[in-house]
Amino acid sequence: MKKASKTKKNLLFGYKFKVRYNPELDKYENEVLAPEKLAKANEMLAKVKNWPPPEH
Amino acid sequence: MLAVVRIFHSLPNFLLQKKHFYYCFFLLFLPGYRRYFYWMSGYEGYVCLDISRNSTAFEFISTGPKGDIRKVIQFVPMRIHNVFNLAFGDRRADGTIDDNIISDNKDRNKILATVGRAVLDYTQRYPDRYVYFMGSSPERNRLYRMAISTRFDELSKFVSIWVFMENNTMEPFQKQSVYTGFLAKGK
Repeated sequence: MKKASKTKKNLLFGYKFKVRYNPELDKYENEVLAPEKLAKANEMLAKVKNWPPPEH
Repeated sequence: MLAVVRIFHSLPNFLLQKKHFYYCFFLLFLPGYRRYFYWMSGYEGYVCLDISRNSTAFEFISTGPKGDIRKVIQFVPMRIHNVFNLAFGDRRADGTIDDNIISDNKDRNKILATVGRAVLDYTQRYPDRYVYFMGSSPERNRLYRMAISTRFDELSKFVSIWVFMENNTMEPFQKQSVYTGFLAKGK
């Protein structure tokens, strides 16, 4: 399948990288691919005493 | 200068031969040396990232001795408003992510750099959102901490990073400590 030409270039760690829109990934928009991880993360975040995080 | 050149030319042939250059070249291919050079070239990252329409899913292909492996990164909303969990791993046959797998494709640093780039891209698109991520084991958390520490000066230009301590408190990222999770937000 030909991919759309929506691209964006960024610079990090001295290297350019390209982000390319791929319509095949749209199917993941509304599903949770790692539900166990999400549950664990929610548990961890619920325990935090000083939310929101202190300013830098 | 001339004296140095003269000394160099006066070196006997047995001290400086073409074969010595080749020996040095072959040393690069020894496993230990190769690992060292992987580390030196680390953080180069994969150049191309595929992305979904709303930037919640990213995909790239890890290439190495084990072949091409599809890696997926997904940002999923958590219970707290504006906090998104980063899930990352290999794609299973059923489409879910296996985040405990050890691919051993000899490209760990490239993968870390690529995930870092995905976080950077996401936080630039949604600067008001927090991205939460943690390793699937204490060793991985330590690895993430080391990777962030190595490039913290550069990363801190783009994102603010907080860490979760073992006593369930959060504080701005510091290079030397034990963490259970990380939180990033675009600047």
